[in-house]
Amino acid sequence: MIKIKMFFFAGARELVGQGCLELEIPLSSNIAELKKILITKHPKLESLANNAAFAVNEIFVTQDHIILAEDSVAFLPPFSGG
Amino acid sequence: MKIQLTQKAIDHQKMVENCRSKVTGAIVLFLGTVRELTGNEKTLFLEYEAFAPLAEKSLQEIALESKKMWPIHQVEIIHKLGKLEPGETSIAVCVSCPHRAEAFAACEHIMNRIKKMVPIWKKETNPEGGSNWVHPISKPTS
Repeated sequence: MIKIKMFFFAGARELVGQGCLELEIPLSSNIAELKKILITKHPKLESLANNAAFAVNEIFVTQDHIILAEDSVAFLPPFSGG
Repeated sequence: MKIQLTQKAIDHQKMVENCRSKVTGAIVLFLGTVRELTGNEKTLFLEYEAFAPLAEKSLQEIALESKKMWPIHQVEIIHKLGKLEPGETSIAVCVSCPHRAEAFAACEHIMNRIKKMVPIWKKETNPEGGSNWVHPISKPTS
């Protein structure tokens, strides 16, 4: 298992109840697998998770991106700026 | 090129002056302002938040990408964060180019990209005190 830092924004932060938390995930997990872990812990996140973008260490990543220990992962629900 | 996220009111007149030059014949300024009514729903105020480091980086990329597509002389993008009331400016995009067609096109392109690409969110609060985050769910592409 590895430890990562998760950051949540906007509606996702309100559903989770906090903006930042530490999480343990299996070694070599990718973003798609992380999403499943998050939905299991917070079922209400499912709809947002399926439409969210993810960033690792402040860079946008795709679903198959492998997460490393100590990474900062941001859960970015659909944007509504402008 | 200037990119900024701010908590202060946007001074769009200053942006226009920053974009003015003798070598360009067109300045296009777009202001996004807070609308009081969306359909029958009344908005008391909006609150904007951003994942600031990535939002700034994304805005920079959009501005650079646009400079490759059109002969942009100057481009400024400022987005206000925090609480905004109806009528206030939430975003300003100012572009100067030699001719108007390219300035209009560049400004519209920048706004379209911002809506899709930049991690900024708004929360609407209505006069009854109810509030919700706006998270447009994109339709699956067939």
